[in-house]
Parts: sequence; structure tokens; C-alpha cells
Amino acid sequence: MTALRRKDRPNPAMLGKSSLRSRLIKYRWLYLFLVPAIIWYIIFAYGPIYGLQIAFKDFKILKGIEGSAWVGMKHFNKMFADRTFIRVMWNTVYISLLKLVFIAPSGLVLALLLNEVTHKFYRGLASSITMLPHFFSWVVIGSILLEILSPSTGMVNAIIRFFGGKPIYFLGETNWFIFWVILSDMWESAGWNSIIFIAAIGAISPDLYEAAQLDGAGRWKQLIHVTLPCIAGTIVVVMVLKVGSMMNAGFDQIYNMYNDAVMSDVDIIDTYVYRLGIQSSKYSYSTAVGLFKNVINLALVLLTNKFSKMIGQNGLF
Amino acid sequence: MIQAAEKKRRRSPINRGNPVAKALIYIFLLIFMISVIYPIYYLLMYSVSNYGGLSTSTDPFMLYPKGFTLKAYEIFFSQNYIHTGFGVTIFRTITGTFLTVIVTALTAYPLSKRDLPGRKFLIWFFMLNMFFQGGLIPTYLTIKNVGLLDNIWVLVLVPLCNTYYILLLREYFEGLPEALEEAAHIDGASALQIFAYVILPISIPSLMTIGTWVFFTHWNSYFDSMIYISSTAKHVVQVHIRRLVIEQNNMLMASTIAVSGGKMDQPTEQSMRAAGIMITIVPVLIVYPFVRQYFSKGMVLGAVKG
Amino acid sequence: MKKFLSLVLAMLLVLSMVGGALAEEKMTIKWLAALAPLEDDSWGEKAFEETFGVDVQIKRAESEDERAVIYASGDIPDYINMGNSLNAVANLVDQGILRPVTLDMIKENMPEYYAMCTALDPDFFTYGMVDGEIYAVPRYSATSAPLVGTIRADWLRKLNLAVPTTVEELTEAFTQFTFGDPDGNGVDDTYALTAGGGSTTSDWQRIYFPSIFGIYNVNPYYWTENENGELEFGFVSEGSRKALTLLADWYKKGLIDPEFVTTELRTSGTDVASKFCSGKVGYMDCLGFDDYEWDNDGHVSAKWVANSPEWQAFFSSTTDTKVLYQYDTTSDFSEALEAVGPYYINMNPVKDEEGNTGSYPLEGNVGAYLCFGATADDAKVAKIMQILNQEATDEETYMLHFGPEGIQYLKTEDGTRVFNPEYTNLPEYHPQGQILGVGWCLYPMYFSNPDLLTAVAGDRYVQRYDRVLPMFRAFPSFDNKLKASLPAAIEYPEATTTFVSNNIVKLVRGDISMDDWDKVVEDWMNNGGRELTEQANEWYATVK
Repeated sequence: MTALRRKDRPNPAMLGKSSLRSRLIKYRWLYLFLVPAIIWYIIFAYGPIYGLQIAFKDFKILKGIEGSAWVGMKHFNKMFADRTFIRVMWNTVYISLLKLVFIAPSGLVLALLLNEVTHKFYRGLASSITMLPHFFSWVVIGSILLEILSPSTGMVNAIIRFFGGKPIYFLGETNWFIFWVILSDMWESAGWNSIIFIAAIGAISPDLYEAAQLDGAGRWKQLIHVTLPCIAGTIVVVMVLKVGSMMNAGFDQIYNMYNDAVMSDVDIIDTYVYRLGIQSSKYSYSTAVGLFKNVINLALVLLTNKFSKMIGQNGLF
Repeated sequence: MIQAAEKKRRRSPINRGNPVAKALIYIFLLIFMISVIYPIYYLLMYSVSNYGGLSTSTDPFMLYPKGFTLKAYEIFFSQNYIHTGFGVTIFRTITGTFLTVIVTALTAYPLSKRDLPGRKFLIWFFMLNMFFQGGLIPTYLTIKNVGLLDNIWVLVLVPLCNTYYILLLREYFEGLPEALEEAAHIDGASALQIFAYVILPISIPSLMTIGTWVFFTHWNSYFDSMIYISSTAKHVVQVHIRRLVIEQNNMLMASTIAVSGGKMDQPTEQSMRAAGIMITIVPVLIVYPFVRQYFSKGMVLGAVKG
Repeated sequence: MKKFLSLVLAMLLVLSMVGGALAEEKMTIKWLAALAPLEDDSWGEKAFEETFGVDVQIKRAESEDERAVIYASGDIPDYINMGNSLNAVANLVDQGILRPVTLDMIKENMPEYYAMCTALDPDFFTYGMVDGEIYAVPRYSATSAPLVGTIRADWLRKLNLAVPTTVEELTEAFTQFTFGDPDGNGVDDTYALTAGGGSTTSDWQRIYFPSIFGIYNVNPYYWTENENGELEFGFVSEGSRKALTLLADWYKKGLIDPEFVTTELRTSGTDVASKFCSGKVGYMDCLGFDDYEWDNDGHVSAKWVANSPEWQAFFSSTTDTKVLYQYDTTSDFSEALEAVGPYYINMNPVKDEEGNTGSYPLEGNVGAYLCFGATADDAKVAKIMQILNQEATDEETYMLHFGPEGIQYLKTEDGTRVFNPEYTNLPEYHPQGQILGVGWCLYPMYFSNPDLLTAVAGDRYVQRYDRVLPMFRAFPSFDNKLKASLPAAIEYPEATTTFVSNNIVKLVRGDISMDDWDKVVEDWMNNGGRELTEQANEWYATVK
């Protein structure tokens, strides 16, 4: 039984590659495996990709995508001339960064905590129940939050009052509002995201723990020296992809939570574009914004991927 | 054998750790669980409350229903479409999960071979889709051209592939020891045999993870059904629930029954929505423990074989 | 043999021509509206096809996305019900999906409807105009009324106050409502007023204190005429400044419920009407006459009854509808109502500091914009117009909206129609008639004809439409002066919506000081306001 750590595995590049021909023959069957996915991507993913051209056109539904007139960079120019757009872009980055720091690791932390639970039934119960919030839509979570956070009738403020505190209008003040955005997102997604880490931890060989115990390592040392290195690959993939959605700060959540008092500070790109769109179905403009967002997302993925390679991980590609 | 491994892992004497830290972890998880169970309880109470009760009460804790009516549930279950809707949802969820897991595994496995010619191109080919999509209208037109409109297979095929899952599973396959395959290779097994009899069985925990995600995403979806399906009988249950919630709103608005006091015992839009969540979450609550059981068994199995 | 064959062929030809002509006679109309019948061939659809001699093909789409893909797939409906947003109409015009009609077409195909609407409002058919052309037949809303201020009479009585008639008296009443313990529970837990900032209305506007703005004859989302005879946007007018100064002052004094930003306008248990009825606030001004959340149409609303044991006792004391619906809501104290239980007053607008009479914003009289797809030819448009005309003005056709007799309504011995109290227990019951296939989708003209409001009568409807509606209509009111969609409104949709709501809240709460008012106005001008004002006045010059 060999250890699973990636560094210990022979790197084919170092061993000297066998010739292209022999590799093609060796893997000929594996290409067949790829066929269903490739067909799916060609039809359903890249079939409609021509639609992106409307970012550079003045799309009119009746004229169709091909028939609409080219307008060059008009929509992009408009985007950067719009002060509101610039503002919501910074809001997006701000909220995304907070989410990256607090929410991205929460699934991992929860998985590690669950791993420390030795009582089997309790562990099962906890991992099932913590996953459930993912089934609530943000419409529902938003209205529950509205009720429990109300300064006059809400439960949270009832507790604060009980301990002699002064009620706080959580949703009416920007910083508190963002606090609840982060907390509720963590609550909603931690259980769901922990699943992948639970599986990764489960795949670690018990022999490694045994060896560590023989060396006299406690739970903490085992965590640092066995658990984390063994699931580092999964952590990296999850983190790189999280960074790759930096420009999406959670449309459903913000949309169902915000109000006029905090809107100018928590309005994100997606909510802003949605409001523009619902009034004047600006397909071209919202496609341009989407394109802009995703180019940045892609650039961020490339950067993080590079970084992950620098610290000795495989990264995405 | 499995139990032995489990025992070995969980019960060894020096494995206990710091009791204080452990107590804190138990308490933290307990609080987390309460924070989940309470809203469910809250929604349950809300779902049996009525208009009259909700408009007079300002109780912050919602420990008991405000007024009492089961009409929300009656409205849901009196609709034939809720039953056909559940049928469609179950079909798409089971078929969709099965196919997605298979296709994801088939795709991730070749990509995990680091010396596969064209690997980098293929990864880019799959990954670019995460960032560049055609948008609603071109996708709709594509599906129309393929002839899948108003066909329940559209609900299975459109969400069939997900690059995120492919990349995660590939990451897992890369971590498998090569010795496993080499041994099988020497025994003269074909690529398909190795995949089916060596790789898949030891990957059950990871496949179950992807499966769980896909399963519940399917269970909750409604948008694709709303857009691509036009026959009432082919819609998923979530579409009907959303429709009925909106109609309840309309019902309170409808002047024909708006006799003062006459809507006191009616459910509100919010209580209908709460009831809708209840009837979609209960099957999950029933099914998930079984899934999980299998899940943790596979986990240990994977650990032992790996 | 050959002859015989050619004879058969000739006969077949004739037959197919006749058949073709017969089939041609029945026009197919593609029909898109919300709340469509759940299934094809419903009672309503069959009645529609029989009555109008057409074949109707219903398109089902409830959301914007569903509509977008219907248009994009090239299958544009002939009839499109656009709801009550003219900007949405303008947008579809911009997308090339709608076709224009002429006033002559309306006059020719809808003579009775045209006469009825123009008698009520001479400019009515100009309201569906975009870029100088008529793109929609507006549906007249016969139940529209001003958004009236409602005050708790029992609180006024308890605090020995008269019904306020000036800003000063209103401020005094509000102060007492907040600090004078009007509910007598000995706890300082009341506010004077709140608003429904938690919900948007159409076009992303929110309803914040319309009656307070109304004191200065302005609604921040409406266009008004200033003293130079030019159009000015309500939010940046002098009236708004005065109203916001007053509101900011009240907020500082603690009279306004701080939760007005997130309080729901609609049902939730902590919505505006619930707060008013349960005695958390004593004044409310954001629910219209026909609002289902309020039933502000009779003497007491459902929520009020739920909070009042006296009224519950009254309603359970008898089933005689003559007795039940004898009390009308009033605009002053009423001994008769007082004898039954606590009540509220729909008060007259108060006078401002200079003694000018205030007024209430009117909900426009356009209930919906009924439009025609770009691919519909003149004959089809004419037919659709005739259908709508007949639905609005012919009583028998109008009644199709209510389904067959014996389900939703019954006929009494003297021939009047009354609602069937058992309707909600029947299998055909559906709040919007989507099982029978009647209702909004195929029969959009109900409540558009003032003469037919009580087509289905009964004491409640007589009270509601014959007695109370005229009282509401008598309050001084004002309407939006702008009756067109401006191109800049599509370019800067936020300027007349979110910008206004955000800034009202910030100014009232003091997040932005009223001293910075000029900056806010400047900001609005720079964010599309200048273009909007310019275009509004260009339009105004054409109609003056």
C-alpha cells in the first residue's frame, strides 16, 4: 500500500514520455469514453454559443440574432460610462471577497468538524441536517430573515431585548446587512459543500492515520499532516473554481434580501442588470455585461491556477 | 472486514483527541442543527396557519400555528397535476442522476490520464463552457431545432453535463494509485473492464457525492421545465407548486369571495409557499438517510480497498 | 372511363375548394395573456370560439423569460396583453414585436367602447401611444380610485382629537399616536405611520407615504405641471422637497416606524395593513380601493375584523346581507359605526402650511395595455377589436367572464344575479377561473364598464361599487401628467424608479441630510433626468 500523496507519485514527464503513437494506441478506448460528453458539449453548450455575438449587436427579437445590426463596442462603452455600473462592480468584488474568505472554507471546516465526531449516529444526523438549508430557495430564506430580524417582532431582537440589549435594525444598516448576507450564505451552503470534502476525507487510507498515531501524533497533528495534505487536490479545485465565480456575488440571495436603505451599497452587477433588463429586455447589454464578467472570471481562474502550481499543486490543467 | 476497519479508525485509544475541543465541536454542530430544524418547524407552523391568524399575531417565535387550516395541503393534493408532476420529477431525477453520473465518470476518467494526447485541449474544451454560454434565446432555439421541445427527455438531457463535476471527479481519479490499474492490465483486462470492475467500484463514495448533488439539483429544478415544456401534464412538480402559490395570492385578490371575514380561514401566499416546501422536502427527508447509509458504507469500502 | 375520372377529379376539386373556403372562414387568433386556462378546450375557450366565430390558440407564458422565447421562436401572438406597464409596451415596440393601429380602426371596430371611454376621459385612447403612434388599446379600469389616507378613529377618540385637517393637526395627532399611548396598554409600542418598502409595485416603484406627498399635490413618481406650464418630475419638484422635509422631521421625532423600509405591502403578518389593524400604527395610506389586502371598499376590512372581537360578533350575529352590508366607510366620525366597534376613517386630504388643499394620487384609469403582434394583419386586428368591444359593452358577452350560470353565480327569483356562496366548494372553483377557462386571459374586459360593475349584484357589491366607490372618487386627486413612454425611460430606467425610492428612504431616515437636497436633484439630472425632462416636455408640447 503506497501513500496517496501526489508528490510521491511518479510524474510521467519525468520518466520520459513514451511516443505519441504508442500513447494514442494505449488510450484508444479512452477516447471512446469521451464521445457522449463531446457530443453533448457540441450540441448543447457550443451550439448556442453564437448567441454571444449579440453583445456586439443591437439585438431585436424580431430580426433575430443574425439579422440584428452590428454596433461594435457600444454596449461595453456604455457599461464603463455608467457610474452605477462601476459602483455595483465594486460592490460585487467586495461582497465576493468576503464570501471567498468566509464561505468558501466553510464546507471544508464543517467536513473536518464532522470528521472529528466519533459517535456514528450523531455524525450521520449532523451531516444530513446541515445539508438541508440548500433546499430552501432564497425567496424563502429572505422572508424568514425578514421576520426573525425585525427589530419590533423578530426573534433575534427579542433575545437581544431579553438580555437587556437595544434592538438592532439588522437589514436597515449596511454593515449588519452584509453580516447577515455572509452568515445566511454560510448557513445555506456549508452542508452542501461539505459533501465533497467528506468523500475526499473518507477516501484517505486508515493506514496513514495509524502510522501517524504510531509516531505519536494527536488529532491536531493528524489533521495537519495527514488529512489536509491528502485532500489538498480537492481543496485546490474547489477554491480555483470559487475564484472563477468572483464576479457573481449571489444574485438570488441579494435580490431577495436587499431594500432601499442599503441598496446603493449592496447592489451587485447581477441585480442591477436584472433590474435594467426587466424594464427593457436589454438582451444585448446584459450579454455584454455577462461577457465582461466571465472574461474577468476566466482570467482569475488562470491566475489562481498558476498560483496553485507554484505552491506545488496540480491545479486544473 | 468493513466493520473492523471502521473500528480501527474510530476506536483506537490514542485517537480520542482533546475532550474540550470535542465537546465544543458537538455543541457547535448541535447549534447548527437547531438553526436548520427551527426554520423547518417555523415553515411547518406557517403552512398550517391561516389568513386571519397571521394578520393578528405578532408572536416572534412561531411555536404554534396562527389559526389552523390544512387547506394549503388540500389545495395541493386536490390537483391532479401535483401527482403527475411528482411522476415527472421522480423520472427526471432518477434518470438524470444516473445518466449524469455515468457520463461524468466516463469523461473524467480519460482526463485523469496525465499523458493522454490532447488532454489539455479537451480540458479547455470542457472548461470554457463554464465561462461562455450562449444565453437563453439561442439555447431555446437550439433545443427547438433538436426537436426536444415539450419532450420530458429535455429535462434529463439539458443538464446532463456539468464541467464542475467532471473536474472534481477527474481530481479524484488522478489520486488513485496507478498500481491498481497496472495489476489489472497485466491480467489482460481491457480499458472498459478496468474502468467498470476496478475504477468504478472503488470510486463509489465520489460518485455518490456527485450523485447526491445532481439528485437534489434535479429535484429542485423548475426553470427548464417552465421554458422548454408546454404541456401541463409534462411539467415537474415544482412548476405546479410555484403556480399554485401565485394563484393563492390571486385568490385572496379575487373579489368574488372577498366577503369580509370570508378569507379568515384561507391560507396566505406565504403559508402556501411554506406548504409547498414541506411537500417537496419531506420526500428528501425520507430518502436521504438511506442514501447516506450507502454513502458512508461506500466510503469505508473505498478506504479499505484504496 | 377517362370522362368519369375527370368528373371525379372535378368534383374533388370543387369539394376541396368548398372545404377550403369553409375552413378559411374561421380565423385563427394566437392569444397571449397571463392566467390562461389550464387546459385546451375549456368551457371558456369553447364559449369564446362560439360567440366570436374564431379559432383561438392560447399561448401559455407567465414569466418574462417564457414570453421572450415565444417571441424569439418567431411565432408572434396576434393578441398580447401587456399588463399595466407602458414602458414594457414601448420596449416591445422597440423590439419590433408589436404593430401600430389607428384611431379610426378603434372607432370603427369598437364603437361602443370608444364612446364609453371617451365620455369618461376624452384623451383615453392616446394613453397607449409610443412614438406618436397607437400601439395599444388601453383597458379602462372602472374601479380605479385615489390612494386614500386612513386613520384610526378609535385612537383619535381616545386621545380627544378631531379628524386632522391641516399639517399642524396631523403632526399633533401623529405625536399623540406615538407618545400618548393610544392603545392604552401602558407601553410605548406604537408609531404613527409606516410604509410598505418591502414590496415593489409595477415598474419597480415603491409606495412611500403617497398621502403626505399628496398634501403638496405631488407624487414622487408622477410628472406634474409647474408654474411655467412645463412638466416636471415629481421627485425633484418643490412639493417633494416640502414633503420630505416634513417626513424627515417626523422620522427624527420618532413618529415613523423605522421598519417602513422593509415592511411588506402584502400579506405576511407584519405587513402595513396588519400593523394598522393590530394597532402598531394609527395611519396608513398605501392600499388602494380595490386592494385585496385591504378591502377598503366597505365598512371594515377582513384584517380589521380579525383584530376586533366586536366586529366578529357583529358578522356572526346574522346572515342577512342587508344588515351585514349596511355600514359604509366614512370620512368623519360616525355614531353608527361607533355603536358596533372600533372603526377607521378614510379622511379628506389635509391642507398644507399655506392653507392649500392637498389631494391624493390617483391610480391611473388604464388597467392594462392590449396590444397586437407585428404579424397580425388588419383583418385580424379588426376582429380582435370587435371581440374586446363586445366583451366590454354587451352584457351577455360580459357575463361569459363569470362562466355558466349555476357555478360562480346564481339567478334569484327576481332575475338578479348573485354570487354562489358555494362556488368555492365546487370542483370548477378556481380563483382566476382557469379551470373553466374564464377570466383574465380570454375575457380581459371585466370591471372595465362602470355600468356593468354590479352585473352580478348582491348587497356587498352594491355597497362596494354603488355606494363606497363614489365616495372615494369624490376625494380631491391628481393623476400622472405624462401619458407616454419616453425613449429616455428605456435608456435610464433607474432614474424614475430605484433612484427615487433609494433617495426617499435615505432622506427620510436622515442618511442624506435635507440640506443636501440640491445635490440629490443635481444627481438625478445627471443620471438621465435632464433627458427625461426634455423629452417629457417635447411630448407635452404636442398634446397641449
